[in-house]
Amino acid sequence: MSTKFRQYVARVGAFLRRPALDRDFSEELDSHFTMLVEDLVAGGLPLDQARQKARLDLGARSQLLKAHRAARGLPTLEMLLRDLRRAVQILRKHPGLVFIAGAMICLSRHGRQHRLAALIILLAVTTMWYLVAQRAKADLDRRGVVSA
Amino acid sequence: MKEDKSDILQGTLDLMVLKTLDAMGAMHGYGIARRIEQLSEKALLVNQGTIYLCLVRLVQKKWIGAAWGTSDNNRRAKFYSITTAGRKQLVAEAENWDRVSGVIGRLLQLSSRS
Repeated sequence: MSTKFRQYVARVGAFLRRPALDRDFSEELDSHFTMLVEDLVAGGLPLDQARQKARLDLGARSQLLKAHRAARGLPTLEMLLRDLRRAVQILRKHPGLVFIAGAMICLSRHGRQHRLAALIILLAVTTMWYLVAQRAKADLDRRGVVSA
Repeated sequence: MKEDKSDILQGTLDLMVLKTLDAMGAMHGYGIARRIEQLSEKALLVNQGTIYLCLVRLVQKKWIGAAWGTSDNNRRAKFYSITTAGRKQLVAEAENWDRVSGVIGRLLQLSSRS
C-alpha cells in the first residue's frame, strides 16, 4: 500500500516535470547509444553498420519516449488534456457555431441543467472571443499597425 | 493502462533487475540490458530501450536509486543501484518465486494414471 502511494506521488511529480524528465531520458538514450556503438565497433563492425545495428537494438526513440512517459507519468490524464486542447482549438475556429448552439439551448426552456449548460457554453464562447481578439491584437501589434 | 508484456513477465523482469543490481553493484541501463539479454536470450526485452520502462518504475517504487556518473571508459551514464527497500523486496520476491516453482515442480512430478 505504501509502495502504491509512493508510486502515485512519483507519477504526479513526473507528470508535472515532464519536459525535464524527457530531456533526462533523451540524454540517457544518447549515452546508451554511444556505448552500444563503441562496443559494436570494438567487436569488428564498421561504424555505419554499427550505428544502424545500434538503432535497431535500442529501439525507436519516439516510441520509447512515449512509452517512458506512460510508464512514469499519468497517461490517462495526459490523453484527456490533449483531447481537450484539440477540442478547444477546433471550437475556436468556429465561434459562430458554438454561439448558435448556446443560443438554441438558451431558447429551449428545459430546466436548470439546460440553462447551466447554456451558461457554460456562452462563457466558453466569450472566453474564446476574448482569446481570438487578443490574438488578432497581437498580430496587429507584430505588424506594427497599432503601435506605430 | 495497458502493459506491453503480461504481469508475470513484468514481475520476472523486475526480479532480474533487482537481482542483477544486488549481485553486481551499480550499473548503467546499457549494462543491465545486456546482462538481461544474455540471461534471458532476449525473451524479456523487445529491444534494449524497454529496460528503461522497467527501471523508471523501480525508481518510482524506491527499490532502486539512479544518479548520473562516469563509466569505465569515461562516458557519462546514469547509474542504478539497489536500495535497502529494494533488497527487502528482492528477498520477498525470491521466496515467492521459490514457493511457486516448488508447487509447479511437485505438480509436474505427479505420475499419470494409466
